[in-house]
Amino acid sequence: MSDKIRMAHGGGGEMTARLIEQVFYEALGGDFKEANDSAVLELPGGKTAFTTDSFVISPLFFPGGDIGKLAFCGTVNDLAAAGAQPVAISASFIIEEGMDIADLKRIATSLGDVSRETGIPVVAGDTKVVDKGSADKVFITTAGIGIIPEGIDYHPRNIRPGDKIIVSGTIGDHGYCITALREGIAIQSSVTSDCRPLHELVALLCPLAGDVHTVRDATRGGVGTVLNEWARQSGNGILIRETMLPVKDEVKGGCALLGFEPIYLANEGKMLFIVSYNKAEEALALLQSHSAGVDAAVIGEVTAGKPQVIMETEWGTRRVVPVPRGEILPRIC
Amino acid sequence: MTSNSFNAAAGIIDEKKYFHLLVEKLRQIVVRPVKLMEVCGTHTMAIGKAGMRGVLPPEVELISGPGCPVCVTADSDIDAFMRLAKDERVILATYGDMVRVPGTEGSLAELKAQGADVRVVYSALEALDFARTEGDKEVVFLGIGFETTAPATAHAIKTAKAENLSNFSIYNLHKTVPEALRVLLEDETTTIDGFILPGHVSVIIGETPYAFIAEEYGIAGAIAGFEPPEIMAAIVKLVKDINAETPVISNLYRKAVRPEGNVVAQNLLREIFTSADADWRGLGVIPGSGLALSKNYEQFDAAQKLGIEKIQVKLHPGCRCGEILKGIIKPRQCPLFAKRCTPENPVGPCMVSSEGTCAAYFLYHGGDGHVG
Repeated sequence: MSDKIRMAHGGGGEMTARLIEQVFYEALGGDFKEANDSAVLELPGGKTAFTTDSFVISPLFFPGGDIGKLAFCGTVNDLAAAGAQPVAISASFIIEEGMDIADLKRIATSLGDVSRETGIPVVAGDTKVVDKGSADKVFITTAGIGIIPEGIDYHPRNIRPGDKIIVSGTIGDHGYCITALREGIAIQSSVTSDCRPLHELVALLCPLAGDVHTVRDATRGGVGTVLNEWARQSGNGILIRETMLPVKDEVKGGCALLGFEPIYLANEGKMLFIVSYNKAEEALALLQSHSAGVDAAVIGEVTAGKPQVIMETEWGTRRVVPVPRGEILPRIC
Repeated sequence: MTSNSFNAAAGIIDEKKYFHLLVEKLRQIVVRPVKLMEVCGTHTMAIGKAGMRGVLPPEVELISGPGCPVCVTADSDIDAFMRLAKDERVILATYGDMVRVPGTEGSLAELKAQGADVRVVYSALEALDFARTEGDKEVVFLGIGFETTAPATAHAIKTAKAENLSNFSIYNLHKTVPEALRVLLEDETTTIDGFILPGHVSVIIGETPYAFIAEEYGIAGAIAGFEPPEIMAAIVKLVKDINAETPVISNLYRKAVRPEGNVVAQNLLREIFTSADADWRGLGVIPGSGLALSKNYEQFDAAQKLGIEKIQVKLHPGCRCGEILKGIIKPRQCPLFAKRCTPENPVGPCMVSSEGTCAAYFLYHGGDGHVG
């Protein structure tokens, strides 16, 4: 590892994993190493999920949301992926000197709106202002806690060969929307960010608790990154079918143009589920009954093969879906 | 154009069905082992991404050629532009592919982290914008690529001259493809039965510069597009020509490639550049395979302007880029592949570039080069 932080260290791929392993695991110890996006704590009142996330997106405002809504939904979705019902959120703002207060107000209002809509309160916060140039307008850190109902355990250790993999809707919308905006093709684009809270959607699967083996929101690094992590964590193979991946036509075409693959683009409103094969249809029907899951689809299955992700391509051939390398897309969330 | 490809183009038959018909056809006609080289890195990536090697009959072997501009950049050039990036007067503007290429003392990404002003651009014209707005800095554009990207660099230089921009220059790495193919054909250690010729390069240069391949060396070539059926159609055509011992250069990418190429771009290239020798990583100096700035535009040569000299450096011991670029060995036969040399810690540019042969093998065939 070279001795300076590079943008690729924040990309969510192999270099991010290595940075966490080489700096934070070592410094913060064993409990941290076991951590997923949310920690599950055994508190006197029952199992509690606890999580935190930072948001450094550029641009701050985008079709379908802004950094405020994103910061709220990101943390709610991390709690949801642990199977928790979110209880409360905190939000800290690092603000650059010179930022327009009107913009800040817009961001705070949008964060507040989604809090009111979901009934999940923002109960603590902090504001710091730094010199011009020490931050880019505003960075937000949110944290959240949630209660995990009895019988829910969504740890990747539960993954078994034969399980089906379900995605809750079209992939790559957020990443594509931001990229299109930055590349200046946004004017013709009809794709908006999928940024939205998913705790209700995940809660729909509570009746299938023992058969829902693991859940993750496919944010930075996209579906491809989550699947690779699951393959590594569970020691199983994963087989997905390209033709079954729900991708909007414009995202597909735009990606071909820009040289990206939708499978690695960030999502801010998409969950991945691994479910027992005999309950997959039932789970799919439950997800499709909710507005956040109408495009849900089974995209593949867990195999007894070696721990890597294989894609059956639209051409009927097979290839590896590698762990993304290097700088995928900086500051996407 | 075969009737099937016409039907596919017209949307009458499904392109996936067409792809499988081509695979079936290939299985029927193949009679002996053939080695086909896909010259272009974009083809290498498309083949990997579509998993095409897995459906080829065992007799048909695809080998990857030297058509990845990043991969064929000489180490002495890499070190030279690293020195440029370190110069505090310089803003170095480059395509993203070059940022992680390793030199003897790290990459542009590392220099950037240490404070060098390295900026990723999507076109040479973006670099011109920096020159217009940041007059106190020398903006150096890394001019890299084959005939495909050279016209864009030429256009930027011409614009800079018209605007009298005195703080813009290029570090010139542009190369041309046909002469490199001649080197491969002359090399007795290579065995190539046919070439899948680069679609994008051909858009500019047309068909005629490849004629010598068939006429002088008796080897078939097919200009191909980048969709899996287009590549597969080229493979079928090449195997047919090889079987019939009728080596020709076919243009199977007519929707984009005219026989004479893009004459406007060719004239622009002739105005700004002049043919020169070029140093290719792994292949050595190839006469007439480079594009030097012509007399009228010499003032845009960054190396001259800023006094940067090329110093010969030795390839990393064990690195077999040269043999990989010539298609003599496959990446996994290189002792460094997936061990010392990975996408995070690349030894050679073939592992870095989004078109690099080693990167394609590492990504789409698994770290050890095997699927499954």
